Amino acid sequence: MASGSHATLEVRKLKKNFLVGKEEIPVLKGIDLKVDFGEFVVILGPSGCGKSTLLNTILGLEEPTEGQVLVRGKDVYTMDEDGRANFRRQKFGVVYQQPNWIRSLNVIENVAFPLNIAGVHHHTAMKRAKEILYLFKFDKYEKYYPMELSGGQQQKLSMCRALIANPWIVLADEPTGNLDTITAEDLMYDLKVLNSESRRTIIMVTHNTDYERYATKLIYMEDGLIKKIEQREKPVISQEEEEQVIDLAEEGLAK
Amino acid sequence: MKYRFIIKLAFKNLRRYKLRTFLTAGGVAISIGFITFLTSLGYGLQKVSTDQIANMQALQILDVDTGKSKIVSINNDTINKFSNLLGVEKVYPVVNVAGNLGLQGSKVDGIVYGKSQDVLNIEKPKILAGKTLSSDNADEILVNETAVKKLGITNYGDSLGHDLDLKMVLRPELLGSSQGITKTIEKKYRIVGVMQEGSSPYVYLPLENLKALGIVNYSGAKVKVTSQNNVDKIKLLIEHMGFKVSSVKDTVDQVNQFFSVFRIVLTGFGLIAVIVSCIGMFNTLTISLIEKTREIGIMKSLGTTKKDIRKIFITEALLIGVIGGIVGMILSFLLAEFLNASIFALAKSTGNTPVQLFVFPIQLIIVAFLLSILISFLTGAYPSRRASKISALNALRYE
Repeated sequence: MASGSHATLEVRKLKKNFLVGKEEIPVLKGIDLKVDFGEFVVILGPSGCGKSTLLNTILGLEEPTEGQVLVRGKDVYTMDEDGRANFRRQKFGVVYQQPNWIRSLNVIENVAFPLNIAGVHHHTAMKRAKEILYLFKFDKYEKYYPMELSGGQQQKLSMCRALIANPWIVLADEPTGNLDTITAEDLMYDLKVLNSESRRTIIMVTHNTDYERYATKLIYMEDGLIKKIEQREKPVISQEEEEQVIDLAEEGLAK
Repeated sequence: MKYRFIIKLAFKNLRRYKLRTFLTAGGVAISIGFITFLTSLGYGLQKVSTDQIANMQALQILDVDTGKSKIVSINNDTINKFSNLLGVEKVYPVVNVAGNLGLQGSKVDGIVYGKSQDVLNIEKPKILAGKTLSSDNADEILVNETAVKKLGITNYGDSLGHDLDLKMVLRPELLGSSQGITKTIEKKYRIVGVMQEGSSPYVYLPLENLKALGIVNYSGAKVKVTSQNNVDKIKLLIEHMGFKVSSVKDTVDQVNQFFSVFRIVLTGFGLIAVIVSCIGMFNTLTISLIEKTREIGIMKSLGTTKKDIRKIFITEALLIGVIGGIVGMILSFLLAEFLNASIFALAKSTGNTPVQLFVFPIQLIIVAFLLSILISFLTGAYPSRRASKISALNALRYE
């Protein structure tokens, strides 16, 4: 697939209705969006405007009522559910407002989980998890259970989990929602570094306008529609750099 | 996802909820243990009764007689004919006649059997006192306990060494007489032994001795076949010659059939326990599914396929079922062996023949193991399917 001819992510005429009782409630009413490689997209909007639904639809978790989601030209919803699951773990890393853990696994095992899903050899998975924990200064907690850590630590840990497979795109749904200001800034800084230095495309949903300053592209949503798109910067990324990140993701799941 | 990882994850999940795992697997253990225990009792009882009917050698013997037929008779020629059949090892003639036993003034009717040494060696009658017949033509006789009692001797040992007045009525068929003449013979025989078996009076005489009285035709024959597999074939062949054939195997087959039904009844009781434990296990798995809703959500959003989610849940069910099943089998085996040993000790101390009341044939162990796997699949199927169908989004919103 030629990288230049397709946007990293493209959403076309996306509509999503939810069935509440017998009534169909439209949540997304026709979203068009293009994200280029290496962008830091911040989606802003009030609660209930459809931000999270959009994010989950991009992830392949929520089948749209109408429209398409294309990742480098590949229509995500032409695949079946298991196909999307496989696709998701190769391309996306995800951080939620609440870090959801597998409670029977400790810190390092939880971080290594995405690799284990992909069938990466256990020793390789643990080695890589150790490396990333070291990078985020979590090495001394690896035998703890995630629930024993503070909220901020858990949120950082879920970043480790999101990044272990070297995804191209990191989706973050209100990642700072449960954190105090200082811890939140710290996490945002990590995301920024990940974007500017590691060249990962980031799509973040928030209702905190403070984070506008991190964005290369700002999207304002309201009532299931995009009200305004503001392109603040155009990331300059060479073809080689892009290929490197993509190769890294391929290697990320190498067994 | 690799199986190794799935199994590891399942183990960790089970370890996390130790008490629940212990109780659920315990339920399975009790039910599988109970069902194997009962079934092994069924097998044991069956073995005890078939062992009493016949030793292995007796299973290879066919009893042939003329039935009600007036046309066929069993003489030396017939015996030869039987011997020449393929698969027949040896044929022993049998004679029995109606007789009247007299001892010290009392009299009782009984049956007189002519037995060769060969036949006695196979049948091995249980001798309570004295010894067996010494040769094929001695003037000796074996009487059974019932006969001795009916002759008024309470302590059977006292009869040994006495002479028994035997009055025999030889039927014309045995004498080969065409005129239909019956011959009555009176003769004395020394009692050398008392046998245990039988509810009606009978005696054993050496065969040649009896034949010497003028017997040409035998009342029947015992046909020994080379292996148990030949029993049915030879039986059919001899029946086609016009004779009536019966075998211990028929009786054993009937007993086996009875015990198969009996065992099914016992197993049925055990199955009730299995059903109860299934309900318990199903309940546990469903609750654990509900508790893990959020975990399923995150697993899915991290890219776990439906298939893998299903595998994780079914593996947990399998672990509970298989561990429970193995523990149950071990427990029931230990209990059964303990009871077997106790019965053995008790029988020895009271001077009875020890019996093995519980038997664990390999097929029982295999079936019980397969049953525990079946339980796991039956109870795990629905929760794991439901788990795989949970929507990741709803699961993550789930509190």
